[in-house]
Order: sequence, then C-alpha cells, then structure tokens
Amino acid sequence: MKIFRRFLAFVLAALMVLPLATPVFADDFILVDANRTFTGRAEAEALMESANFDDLGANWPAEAVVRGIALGALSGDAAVDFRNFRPNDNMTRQEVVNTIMRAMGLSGQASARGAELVQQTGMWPTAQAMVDLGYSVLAMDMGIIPADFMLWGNASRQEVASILYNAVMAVASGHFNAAPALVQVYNLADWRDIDPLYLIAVENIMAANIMRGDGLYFSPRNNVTRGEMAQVLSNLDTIFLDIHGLERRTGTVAEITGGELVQTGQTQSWQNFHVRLGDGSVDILQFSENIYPSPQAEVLDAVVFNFGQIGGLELLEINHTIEYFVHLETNTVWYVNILHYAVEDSVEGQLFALDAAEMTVTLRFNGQNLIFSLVDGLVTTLGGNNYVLMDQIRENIATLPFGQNVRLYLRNNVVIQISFVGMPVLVDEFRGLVLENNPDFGYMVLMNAAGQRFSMRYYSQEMMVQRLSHWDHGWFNSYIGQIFPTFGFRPTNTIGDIVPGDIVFIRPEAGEAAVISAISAISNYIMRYGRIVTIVHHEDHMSILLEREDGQTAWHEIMGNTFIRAEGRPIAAGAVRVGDWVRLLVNEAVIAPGHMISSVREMAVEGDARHISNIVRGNLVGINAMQNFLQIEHAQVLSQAGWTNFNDIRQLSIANNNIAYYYNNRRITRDEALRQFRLSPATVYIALENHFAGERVTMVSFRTQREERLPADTVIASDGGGGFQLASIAGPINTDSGTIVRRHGRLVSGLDIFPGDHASVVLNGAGMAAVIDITNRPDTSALQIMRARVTRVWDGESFRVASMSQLFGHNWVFSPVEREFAIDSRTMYLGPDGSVNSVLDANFITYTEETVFDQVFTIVTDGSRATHIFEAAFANRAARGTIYAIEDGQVRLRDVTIQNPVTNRWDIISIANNTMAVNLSSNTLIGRDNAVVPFAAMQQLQIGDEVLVMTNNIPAARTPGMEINGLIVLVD
Amino acid sequence: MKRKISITIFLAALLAIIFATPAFARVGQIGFFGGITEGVRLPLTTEQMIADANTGGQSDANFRNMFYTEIIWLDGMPTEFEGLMNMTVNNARGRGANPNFGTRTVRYEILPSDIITADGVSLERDITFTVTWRREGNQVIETYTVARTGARIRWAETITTPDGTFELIPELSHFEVSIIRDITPGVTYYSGNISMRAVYAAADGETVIHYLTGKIYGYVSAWSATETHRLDGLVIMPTGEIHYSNVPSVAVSKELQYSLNEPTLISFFGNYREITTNQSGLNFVINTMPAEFYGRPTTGRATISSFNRFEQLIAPNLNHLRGHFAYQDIRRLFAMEVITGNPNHFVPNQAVSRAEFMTMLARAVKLPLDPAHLTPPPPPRGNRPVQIFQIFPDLWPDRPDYAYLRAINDAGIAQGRGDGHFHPDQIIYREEAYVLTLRVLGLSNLGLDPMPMLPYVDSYRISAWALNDINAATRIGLIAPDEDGMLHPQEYLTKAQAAALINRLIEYMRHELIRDYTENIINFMN
Repeated sequence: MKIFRRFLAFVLAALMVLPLATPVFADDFILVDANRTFTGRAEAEALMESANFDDLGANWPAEAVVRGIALGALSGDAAVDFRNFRPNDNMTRQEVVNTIMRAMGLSGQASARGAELVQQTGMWPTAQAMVDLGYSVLAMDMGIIPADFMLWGNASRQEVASILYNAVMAVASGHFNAAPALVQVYNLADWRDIDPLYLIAVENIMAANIMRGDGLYFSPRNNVTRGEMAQVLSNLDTIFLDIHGLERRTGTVAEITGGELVQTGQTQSWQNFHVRLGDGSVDILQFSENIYPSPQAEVLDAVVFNFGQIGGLELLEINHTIEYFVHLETNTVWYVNILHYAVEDSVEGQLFALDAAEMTVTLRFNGQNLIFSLVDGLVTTLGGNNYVLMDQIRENIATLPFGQNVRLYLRNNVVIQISFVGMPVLVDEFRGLVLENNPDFGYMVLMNAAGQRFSMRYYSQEMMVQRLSHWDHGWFNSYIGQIFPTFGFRPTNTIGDIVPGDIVFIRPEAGEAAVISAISAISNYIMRYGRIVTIVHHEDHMSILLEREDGQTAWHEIMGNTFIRAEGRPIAAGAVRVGDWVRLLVNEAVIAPGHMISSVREMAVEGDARHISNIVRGNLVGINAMQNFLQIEHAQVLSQAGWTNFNDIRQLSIANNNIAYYYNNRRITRDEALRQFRLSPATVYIALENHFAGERVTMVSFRTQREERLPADTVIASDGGGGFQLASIAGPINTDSGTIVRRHGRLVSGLDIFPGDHASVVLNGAGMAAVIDITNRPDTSALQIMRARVTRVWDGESFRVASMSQLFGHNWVFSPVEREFAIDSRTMYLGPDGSVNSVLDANFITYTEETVFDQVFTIVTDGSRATHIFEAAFANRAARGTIYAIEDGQVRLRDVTIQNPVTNRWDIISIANNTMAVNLSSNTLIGRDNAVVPFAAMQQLQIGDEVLVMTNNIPAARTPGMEINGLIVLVD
Repeated sequence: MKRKISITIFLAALLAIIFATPAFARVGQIGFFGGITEGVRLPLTTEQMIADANTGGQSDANFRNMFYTEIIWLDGMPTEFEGLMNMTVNNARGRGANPNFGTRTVRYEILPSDIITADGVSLERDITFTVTWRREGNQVIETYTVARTGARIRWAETITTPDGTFELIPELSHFEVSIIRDITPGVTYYSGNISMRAVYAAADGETVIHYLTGKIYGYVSAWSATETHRLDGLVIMPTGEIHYSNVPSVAVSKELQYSLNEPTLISFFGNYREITTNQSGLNFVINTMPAEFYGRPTTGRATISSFNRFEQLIAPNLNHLRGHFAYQDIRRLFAMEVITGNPNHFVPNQAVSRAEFMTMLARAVKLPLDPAHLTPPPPPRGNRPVQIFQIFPDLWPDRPDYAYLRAINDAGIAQGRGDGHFHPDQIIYREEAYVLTLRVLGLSNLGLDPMPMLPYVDSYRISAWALNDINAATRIGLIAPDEDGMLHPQEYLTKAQAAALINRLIEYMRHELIRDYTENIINFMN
C-alpha cells in the first residue's frame, strides 16, 4: 500500500495524458463490501456547541480549533468570552501548561493532584486557581516544567516547544529523540536566540513539523497566540492520536443509508454514511438517535467541520472526500473534516497483474508499472478460484487478458470498474445480416447490429468469398488457407452463394468503405419441426404449409435443389406426402416486425415414426389415470378384412399429452369424454400412433349412430370440403373433424381425400364416415415376371436369355427374342434349397459343373435390370382365393377357384368347405403392391387379401383343405 | 482481516449451488451399450424434501435391479435381451477433494433375470469405468475408460444366443465415453460420444467384432430429464457384416393431474396430484445386412413399460378466485407450491414485484437454496454495529425471500437493474419477466446473432439488454406475439400473467424440451 502512495503523484500525472470525458461512476459495491462501523458519541452535540465561535468562521485556525475541541485537545470551555475564541490573544505560561497537559490526557490526574494539595494546605482557592494548581504541580512532578518555572506572563515559543517536548516524552517517550543531531536548529538564522536549555526540544519539535517558524527564523522568544497554540496541537497529529488511541482515516462518502425502528413510546433512527477508503475497504460512520418514553433522548453523533460550517454527520454528502478520526477501542467516530468532492477519472493501460490478496491491479504504462487499489467488491473467490468483475461479467483472474489494454475507472484513485479494451485493431471488419444480395448488379443490402440498413458494392471477380455450410465442420475451412492459399483444399464459394438471412463478416476495400473486399458467411438457421398440412406443387419448387407442434402454421418454399431425405437416405421431392412429419433447417431472419425472410436449406422426412399403427373400435370402459391407460371393451382392430383381433378389454397408452377427443364434429376434453361416454353404448374409434416408447393413442372419436363398413373402393370425386364419392356406392360420403382419416399411414383430415384414392370406409350414421383408411390399391400388374432360358452370364454384370415368357394375368406369353438383363449386388438369387443370396454371391455362372447354361429361371425385372432370380419350376397352373389364415410357411385360402386348363373355366373345390392351403418357401415369388415380398416377410400378406396362386401341380382329385405348393403368389 | 468474512460466505454459497446439482447421477442411466433401462425416476415432492434435508440435495447415485433391454447383434440378427442392470457410482468426493477435478468409478452389471429373460438368450456384462472429470466454470468434462485393477481389465461379458455363445476378449477390446455437461440455472444439459470396439470369441476359434459409435444427448431439470443415444453399430462376423443405427432413449417427467372430490361435505373441492412417468424405448434400423437375412424386418423397437408413481399435492382454498381467467394457472402454481402463503394475498389483477416473480421462478425450477441464506442475520438496529455482506445495496439479508433472490442472482438469472441496485420491491416489467424466464432455461445462446429485429410490432420498445434473450425466447417458442403482433415489453406484469408465464415455463420443460431430445432425434435418422 505504501508503494502505491509513492506512485500516486506519478500516476496522477500519467492520467492527464489520457483525458476522457469523466462520467459519474456509481460505486456499485459500497454496500456489498465488508465494512467496519464507527458510531457517533453522546458528547458530540455539546462539543459542536462549544466549538462554534463567532470570530473564527472558515479562516485559520478554525479547523485546528474545532479539531482540537472535538478530539479533546482543547477544552470545551476555551471561549474567552461568550462565543469568541480570540485567536490572536497571547497565551500565558499557565494557559500553555494547562492546554498541553490536557492535550496529553492528563486532566484527570491534574485535578486529583490539585484537590490533594488543597486538602494538604487547607487553602480555599477559586475554581480556576485550583485547576491551574493541579496542572502546574503535576507538570512539575512529571518533570515537564522545572520546579522554578514562572507561571505568569506570556509564554515564548521556545517555552511552548520545551513544555510540549517534555510532556510528550513523559507520556509517550518513543516519539522524540532525546539526543538528536541538531540539524533543524542549526539551519535557522536565529538559532543563537534559542536558550541552550531548549535546543533539544526545539530540534525535535521542528523535525516533527509541529512548529516550524517561517523556515528561516524560529523566533524563539516571541509570544504564542491562542490560534497558534490550537494549530500546534493540531500539528501534533499522530503523536496526539497515538496517545489517545485515535486513528486518522481518509475516504470518500459513497452511499448514505438509514432506517427507523418505531415502537410504542420509543423510536430509534439511524443513518449510515458508507465511506470508501483509499485502500479499497469500507467504513460506516453511524449517526443514531434514540427517543425514549421519558423526555430524554440520546443522540450519537460526531463533530463535522465543513469549510467553516460546524455540525453533525448530517453535513456529509455522497462524493465528499473526508478526513476523519476514529477511536479504535470504542468503535466511535470523533471528528470529521470534509476535504473536497471526490475526484473521478479513468486510465487506460496494459493489464499487467491483478493481485486478489492485496486487492491491487497493476497496469503497465510506458514501461512503468502503476499499481491501483481495487474496491473489494470487484474480486470474489469461488471454489478456490479468484474472479474479478470485468465489464460486469465475472472472470477468472488466472485467465484475464493480461498484456492487453484495459480501462480502469477510478474514484479518488481507487478502481471501481474495469473494462476491456484489447489491442489495436489491425483489420477493418464488421458483422451484419444479409437482407438482399444481387450478384448481377454487384451490391448487397445489409443490416448491422444496431438495426441500420446499408448497402455495399462489390466486384465479384476481385473479392474473396467464404461460406461455411451448416454441414461443414472440417478444418479445411481454416483460416490458414487464406493466409497461405497454397495449403490444401478449400471449398470455393462465389458471391452468389450468399443468401438473405446469412450472417456475414465483411472486410471493406482499403480506402473505399462501401466496397466489399472479402466476405465470410454462415447460415443463420434453426430447426423447425411440424406436420405437412398442404403441399402445392409449382413449376420449379413446391410450397408446404407446416403445422408446428405448438399449433402455429407457416408456409415454406422448398426449392428444386433443396436436399431432402427420409430415414437417413436422400429422396425425391415427389415422395413427400401430406401428413408427413418433417424437420426443416430454415435460414431465417426478421428484417422488420412482422416481416421475416426464410429459406429452407434442408428437409428431413420421418419414416413411420409417427404413422397411425392401428385403428381400434370398441366401447369406453374407463381410465387408469395414474398409469395413463384408456380401457376399451370389445376392442377390435381395423384390417383389410374388417374389424378383427377381438379383445374383451384392451388398455391403450395415453401417456402423451397431445390427444384429441371428439364427439362427432366437436372437440371435447378428456374429462367430458369420460363423463359422457364411460360404459355407454357409444362406439369409440381410436387412432394409435407409433411412438418410440410404444404405441400411443393420438385421436379418440365417439359416435352414437349405426355402423356400416363399406368394401374397399375407389374415390371418384371429392368436393374439397371433406365430402367424396365412391365408385360403387351411391350418394356422397361426408367427413367431419372427428373422422379418423389414415392416408398411407399418416393421420390427415377429410380434406386430403382425392379422386383415385383406394379407400376403406367405415360409416357411422348415414353418409357420415367414422374411419377412412386410404392405402395403395392391391395390384401386381406392374411387376414384370418372366420365365427365361439363360445362354450366357457375364459375372456380376449381366446375363443373356435366348427366349422368354412373360406373365400377364395368369397366362404366360412367349416371345422368342434374345434379351439381356443387368445384374448387380442387389439382385437376389433364391434357390430351391432355401438359400437366399445376392446373385454376386451365388453360383450364377456359365462355366464349371455348376453352369446355368440353358437352364430356365423365373426372373423379376425392373426395365432391363433383373431384381430377382428364382430357381424354381415352371408354374403353369392357376388358382384364386381369399386368405383367411396365415401360418408359418403357409396361407389358407377360402372361396377358392381353380382354373381348368382344358375348359379354361374356374372351378370351385366344394360348396360346403371351399378351402385350400398354399405352401410357401423361400423361392416362392410373392407379389404385393407391385413389389416382391421376401418369404421371410410373408407376414406382409394380410387376411382378406385376394390372391392368384401359380403352381406346377394341382391334384387331380380336388378335396377341401388340400395343399398345393405356391410357386408364384400375387395379391390382386 | 475484515475482507475475509465476506469472501467465505460467498464461497460457501456458490459451492453449495454447484454441488447440489445431482445431474451426474443420471448420466449413463441407460448404460452406454445400446440398451435401455426404465430410467431413473424424478423424485416426488416429499421425497425431494426429505432428501434435501438429509443429504443437502445430494441424491443417491446407485441404482439396482433396473429393468434392462438390449438388442444383441453378434449373430447378425437382432435378438432382444431382457434382464436387469445395476449401476454403482463410487464417488471419490469428500475430504480433500478438489472441486475442479477428480475421478470416480461407475460399475455396470447387466444380468439375466429369472422372471423376464427368455430361454436361450443371455447376457452377462460386468464393466467398471474410471471416470476422470474436471470442472471449468459451469461446464464439467467427464471421460470414461475401462477400469483396470493391476493388469486385470474390469470388463467381462458373456452373451448367449440360440446360435451360440460369445465371450469378450478384454485385452482386444476398448470402450470410451466422453461427456460435457453445461450447468445452467434450471437445466443441466449434456452431450457426449461413445466409442466401443468389443472383440468376442465365438465357437470354433472364430471372433466377432462389434463396433459401436455415436452421440449422447441429455438434460436434467426439475420437471423432466432425458438421455438419448444416437448410435451406429457395425458387427463383423465370420459369415458377413451388419451395419445398423440404434437410438435408445429414456425420458422421465413429472405431470400434474387434477381430481375432483366426490363427497360434497369435504373441506376441499379437489386437488392436484403429481405423477412421475418414464418412457423408455430403443428404435433401430438395419442399414446393411447379409443377403441371407433378406426379407427380415429392417426396423425394430423395444420398449420398457414403466409403472408410474404419484403423490397428492396440497389443496389450498382458492374460493375467491374460482372462475377467474387465470384460475387454473394459479391453482396449479399453488399446488406445486410455486406460490405459497395466504391465497387471499394473491390478487390476480394486481402487479407482481420483481422479488415475487423471482421467488416464483426459483421455486418453479427448484433452484437450490443456500442454507446460509435461509436464516437471516438479525436486522440492524440502533447503534449496534452491523456487519453484513450484501450483494446489492437494496437487497437486505433479513428479507424472508432473501434465499430465493440470492439463488436467482447467484445463478446469474437476474443481475439488478443496471444501476447497481436490485429493486426487489419494484413492479416487474414484462420484458424483465421474459428475460428471466428464458435465462432459467439457459438458452441465451439461441438468441446470439446480430438480429436487432424481432417479429413484434413494438420491438423498438424492447430494451437493448433484453433483445438477445427475448429473441431466443421467441425462437424457441416460449413466447409469441399477441393478436396484434405486440409484446408490450415496457408494461407491468400482473400476478395472473406471471402465473401464466411460469406455468408456460414448466410446461415447456415438461414437453417441448423432452420432445427435442427424444422424438426430434429418434424419429429423424441422420
């Protein structure tokens, strides 16, 4: 701390070099920092009264007199006459002895000594004489004055020096040197005038700056005035303070707080003056007043001197710089001298060190270290680490920007705020948001962080463009490539890659502030999740209306080149369907209230993650609220064959929070649904949704009319308002908001039913659909199935066939044309022994003993590519039927008809039991929805499917339940 | 030295807050092996209170006999294994522990169960990780490696499928997990990576290698917590290879349900109960598999159903508010004890002060309170010397809500009004309320871009300091323009509006947050 003081002057000089408009800084921590409270004293009021002289004012020696009285060096009854101090009156020797003895704190001893003498001698002196006697006899006893000292007449300056010296030596000897080298004295012009007896005293008194004379003359024999005497006592300073256990402090009043406690018949009020000291710590000077039931009041205050004005602590104002005297033992404040208002300033320099223990910060400035004290509140310790507040943010001291510039904000040279400045700016760069980019005309409109719009020009060929795509995180975008362009690969960008909504850093052309020299951009994107409600296809793009999970809807344009994927794989825009849940990566920016620019950069489509897995019908039994189950009796699941899988009771999970309950067209709450329909005959239709933690209810619809299920049929017209017409049913069918519409697995509304859809409809009430299930029309007509004779295989590439027959319906049509089909790793080869392999992995070759030359295969082709090669017999017999049971490796058919190859008629097996079993194996060609179903996935066949079975062997005797081997099974 | 007093108090306060966060207990609650457990439930209110009182907020990190499901891939076909998992955390914290770094061990034991494991399928895994961690400010970095005792590698694994038995060869196998946790006031977010190479001895001296790699995402809050792994697996078998993506996920949350009483002659109409529910599921997609499995399903799912726990919440008498616009909001907050005290003093059309709002907010996200702040020092009286440590000149420690306001301040949610004062008893502005609400979620980063414009017609009224956070709150859908496109940032907030806003925050934590960590990840394959 001492070092700091030594530097102070220099610092102040340095500060002037960096002038800054001086704001008024708030000392934010004044009430936060640890502090010590000094209360006022009860005697302060009386002292203020006695220190208030009419003839002193603000002039010398008023402060010394008030200080003397407040600190007890001068007697409270020092007035010569009423309210006058008479500073220019000479002092008598007796007065000098009395004053100095009192200042040394010897009054008590002196009056005791006086009383003792009076008793011994039997004298009856006046009160004043008794006081004088006590002081002078005690002074003689203690050797402060010689026994022969003349107590009358005016005192000379050298006598005062001597008495003072002797008194201090008697009370606290350490302050003066009893055998000094006479340096001060011999510098005087009039040293010869000093009585040799007093030389040592004068030397000490001068050395301690208590009495100086005018520097050249001490005037030892001149008289001493009362004012001078007050000043001398004031100059005693630390000697006086030490003797009395006082301490002088200086600081700035930074905050004033107060309070009052009101009780019956008693009021306490107090006011705290928070003082910031030079070393950064805090003292509180407290005024308080207690008013008791009896008239007596206790006021604890301190004498305050404010340029001639004498009063209590209430004279203090925020920003006063004060000197004050506190008694450490009693924690009391005795006297405050207001010096001036606080000086505020700031200084900028290189941060060199910050010492949390010493609470100092060191700046380096012109090669010189300058140390400043910090206010306590700037530094905190958390979890063993020290933090400092810089720009109002807590920063670890260990990682401060040492070596960089900071600005310190000072009050009376104590740091109250630190702010980061950094290093000199070398490159002119700024940040903005692109509103418009027009490469054709070479300009760009931007908005800066302050919301100002401005445009900048550029020359596309002469500028550097970098655009970090949202998928690129590799280091090849690193800046080193810009500094050393020969280093490695950098993606090249052109100015056309910068799109509205991008955040950019711009480097202007030197000397041309409105021309871009280099630009670096990143997309300002956010993920948007939602369900596609509407798709509108345009020539080169499509618009989708997205309903977000919070119910907000927004249109988004999907440009032709937007990357779209589903289940992790790229897909075409045409594969996106209404009802799909999608994740959009949207570059969006608000450019004005209500005006947002956005562009979709990428779209991801969910798989079947939120498809409607099942539609259940039943009656509501109840709810298990605690475990989140809806309980349904007579529960059945919708399938192609109608309502199946009967359960007496099914529990369905309602653990999700987005379930919609309907009664006919009206949305109702769950509680209303339970109240109205629990154990009622009302039919409840429930849509279940896939969920990562199991199937969940997503829509519940109650209806009370009679149900009728229509056969699956084709929609031939829709009115755009939820009504539609089926091919084979007369009259319109309507939907309402309670209708469950499943379209290719997705839950949609009645508005999303289009002509051409293949729909299974469950009516509830005349012409009102409760459930509509739109699926692909069962069809296998697009499957190209051939029997072909192989003549040559080019391994892994293709094979040639000499001739082939193509299956149309149940007829093989021969064509004697040689053809070639491509094969690849995805072409499956299915052997009769159950082997399933990629054709590349199978022995599909035309050499060695395993040659397939001249063998006939059943192949499925997609244009000129073979997708499946079945090593199977020729299936020339046909049968039809409807699946009523599916077992492992076998389906059972009812309503069987078998083609008679002779008559070409379709015959039944039996009227009573017209059934048959079809065995399937891994080389059975199963076709459904224009695709080959692998044998292992034969569960995809459904009860109710109508199938064409091709086989090579139908027993001559047709018996009910007979088994045949299915070589080709097509659902149509 | 007088300075020391303040620093000690402050230090104690912050340490308490940082260590009271029981987040790490939940990291790895489904293991790191591609399987799922039923998850660690959120504590019910009473349990939480008792735990807080007994352990100062430290929750037990050991979980035993959790139902566990994993897909076994070693023979090329997904085979579901159901069994049990034990997770034992051996924490090195305690005497002499450094708050900034340390180690602990986490042991996972996965065992078949007589009750649920199917015949012919078995998995026994006993693996202990050494976790080294360090803390930098609000972030914690944790790295898991397989522990060793001397030369012994503490990883043993035996897997049996109908096709054979596979025995782990620990010397050839590696397993690493590294996680970063970011502790924000209301939510602790984490993410990390898993990388495993496990080599198994199969029959006939053949080996099977299983590579597992991917990301971990999760968070922990008072109302919900999740952990989701996005994993890619590659199994190299003697007969071929299989590549799959697997997303195991667990989400736990706490919901409110109201139940009305049937008897008329009962002193309260009805009350809320809270329900803790867990949702666990793993969803996989096979990207490539040997041709011999042609036609097998390429997607699959396994779930563990949970049994929900529940507890009644208090039923204060809100008769005077029945029928009010915000009756439901206020009733919920009273039930959750976000608002406490005499309901007659909660007048919905009156203003809400900063202190009231902050207290509600702190209770809403269950900010940990420093016990030292709960017992205020005696108020300064008369001429007794006062020695108080104060954060703000106008924030006195003898306030009854001091602990909440300090928790809000210590968590960095509110920092006063910029004039160095806290103004606890002034009426809160709407923009202040929005900013505080957003900061509780710790998502200020979503507002960071040079966009001074917001979609509100009265955007220009938003104070500069609030722009970023209001931008973030708008982007994440926490707040939105009203019918006129306005936000009214400079208007005061009523108590009813405050109740609605805080309910919105809680609902956001219950649903939106959870969805972003589960369905938004699981349903979209990367």
